[in-house]
Amino acid sequence: MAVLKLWNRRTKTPSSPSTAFSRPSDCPLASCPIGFCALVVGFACPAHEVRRLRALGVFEGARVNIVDTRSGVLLDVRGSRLALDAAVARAILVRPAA
Amino acid sequence: MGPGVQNLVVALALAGAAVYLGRRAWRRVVAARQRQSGPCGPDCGCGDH
Amino acid sequence: MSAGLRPQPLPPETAVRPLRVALVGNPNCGKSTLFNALTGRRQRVANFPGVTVDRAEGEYRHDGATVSVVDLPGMYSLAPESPDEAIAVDVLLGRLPGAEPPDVIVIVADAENLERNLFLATEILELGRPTVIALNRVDRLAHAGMQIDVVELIHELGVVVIPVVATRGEGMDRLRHAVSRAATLPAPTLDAIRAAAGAQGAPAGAALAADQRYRWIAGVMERTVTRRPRPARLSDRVDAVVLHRVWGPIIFVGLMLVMFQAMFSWARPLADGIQALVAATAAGIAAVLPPGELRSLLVDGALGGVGSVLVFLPQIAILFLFIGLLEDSGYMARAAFVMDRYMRPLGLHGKSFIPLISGYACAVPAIMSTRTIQHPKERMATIMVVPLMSCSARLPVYTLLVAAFVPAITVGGLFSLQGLTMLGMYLLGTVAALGAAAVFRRTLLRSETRALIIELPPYSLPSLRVLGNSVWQRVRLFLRRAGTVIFAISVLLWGLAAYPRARGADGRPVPPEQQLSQSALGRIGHAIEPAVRPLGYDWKIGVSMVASFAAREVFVSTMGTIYGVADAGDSRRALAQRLRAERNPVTGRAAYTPLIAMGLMAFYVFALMCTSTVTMTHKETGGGWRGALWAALQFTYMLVMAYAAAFAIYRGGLLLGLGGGA
Repeated sequence: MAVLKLWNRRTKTPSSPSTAFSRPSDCPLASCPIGFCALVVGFACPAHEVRRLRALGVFEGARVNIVDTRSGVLLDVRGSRLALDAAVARAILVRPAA
Repeated sequence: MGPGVQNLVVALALAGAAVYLGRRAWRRVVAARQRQSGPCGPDCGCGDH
Repeated sequence: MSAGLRPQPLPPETAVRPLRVALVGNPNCGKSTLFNALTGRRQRVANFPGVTVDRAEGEYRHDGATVSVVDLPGMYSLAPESPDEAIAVDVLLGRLPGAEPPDVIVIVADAENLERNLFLATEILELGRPTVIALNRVDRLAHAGMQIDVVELIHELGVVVIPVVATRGEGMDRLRHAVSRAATLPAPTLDAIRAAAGAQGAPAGAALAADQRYRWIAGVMERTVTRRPRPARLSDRVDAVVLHRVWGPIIFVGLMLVMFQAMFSWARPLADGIQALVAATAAGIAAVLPPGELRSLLVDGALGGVGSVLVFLPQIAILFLFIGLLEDSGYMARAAFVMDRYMRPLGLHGKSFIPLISGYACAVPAIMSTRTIQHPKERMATIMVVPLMSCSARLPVYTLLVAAFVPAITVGGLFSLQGLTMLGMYLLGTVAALGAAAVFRRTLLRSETRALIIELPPYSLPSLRVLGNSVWQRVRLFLRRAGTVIFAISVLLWGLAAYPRARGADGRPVPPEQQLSQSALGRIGHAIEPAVRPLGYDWKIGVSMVASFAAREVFVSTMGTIYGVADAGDSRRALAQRLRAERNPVTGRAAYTPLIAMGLMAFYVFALMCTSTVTMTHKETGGGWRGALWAALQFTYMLVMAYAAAFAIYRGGLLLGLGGGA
């Protein structure tokens, strides 16, 4: 996890090397910087929350943009704005979108 | 209008008000027993009727 | 009897049944606006997830046939997450006892947000029922840099798609036509999506996984939608401030402050006008009728009671105008997000915040709106504390007492002390509600706090027509109530205050003060005086309090009737002046001191004096015995709080030496 944090701190732009299939690049949505474009890879929250997130457009393989992280996380999901509290944001695993 | 007529009208008004309020209360009791899904009572003030 | 002469009514089975249409869609897709445009029935519309909680029905005529439309609560998928969505799904699938599924389903899809909206749409299309898609807000596409090929979309989905602009009523005729035709055509089947999923290895017949569904939708989007990259949204720039960690709450509090200030100062001229009207009516009656019982009934009873409540109409209208503005502009969802951080330590959800704010208007719809909270215990806790939020029915009580006992001076050159006192009452109720929620969530309703996942709709300029409508609905209801229930209660109370007629030793009528004391109302008041004496109240306040157990605003009309002030001109101020001048007949001191007024206001902040709310709590906490227990608990804990607060303020004030009259 400490490695992930380091990776994140260094990565300010989504134009990172394409590591689409390498696990170490997966990190919680909560630790992504503003302006980051992320690909959702998995969830670590209860099933009903996953269902809700999927219905709102946050599904495995979905591309989301981090708009704001100052209080909770504000996402751009295909043009709609989704606000998540920090706990949910920590439970969503993402990797940088190519 | 003489005092007699006034008294009569007042008595009718009082009876009318009592009947109106009593009937309303009764209807509400009946409605509450029958209806489970309705939004609210007839005068809840919410405007969603 | 000649059978052939009169047209016989058709037996119910063969009577032409209206076509039943259900409107479904995501929250914020403009569904309620479309419902209004389609049916012409006026209904409350809002711009944040989950306000159209209740099932709204309307009708329209098309080609000589009646079509009945039901507007279902907004939902994101057919797997319901909240009681609210569960209702929508049940109606759609015909699972509601005694109700068939709708004949035609109209899916309302927000064109700007098509991809997400198609998720629900494909789920519904798979039901294989007659369906029409209303593609709403097509007017915003150009601005959003999007183009949708509707013909291609129809081919892809195999269902009729009608572009509409609900806010302007565009496309309604075509939609009505499509609905009537869909009922006669074979239902669409969305085989394409299953075939595609099957090709990816999904077992036939199994529910499609979300990602398979989205993958298919992504393909459809690619073939039907063209996008230009668009510049940063103004909405985001506004959100950067509104959702800010520091500025967000400050903006929120500021908005609330403006709202209360407006309620108190803007309403003044209008209220004065209504007072003048009431006074003029009273003078007119006095000019026509000779003194006697009837004149007293009309002037002192009916006008005194109804008139003293009527003057609060402008304030109630302003309150609902503000709440409507916050909802329709899209701010309400932001407020829920901003406040989530502060609600969490209390064990509540950001979404609990929306019912709490609605509680400022009326606890009844506020309790209904808790249906959007998925988690049962959080929902129960919210229901239990919502009535502590000062609703519009308390406003008359606060206003009367504030006008009578708080000096009209300006503090800090900007805010009036009266306005600040009002704000204080609202804050007291709010703090109590939050505190009570924390207690409930740590005792009876203990559980983990759930996640906040909330969609923030784009900001929009509220439509004046929709706003005006929603305010008018409230005003109309208030007027109807004043004209019926409050009128009847005022007449009855006048009767209780006027009879039995007391006679002096010489058989002549006694002075009004003594008459009141010896009337039926006076006797009731004296009987309950011991209970309210520790709070510093006399029997007149006691009577008004008892009468207001039915509804809070009756307190003011009862006071108005007791003091029979309608003929004194300007009714509210007159009542306020009477209260200031009232002396205790025994001690000779002022009967109402600012201390007593403060205690009384605090009592009304906490006490649950509203039969409608009790009924609603009973229904929403499960009905039957369970609901009755919750409702009884709610009523009792609030009454205990109210009595304790009034007692503490009065006794504490006396100890501090604040008791000696104004």
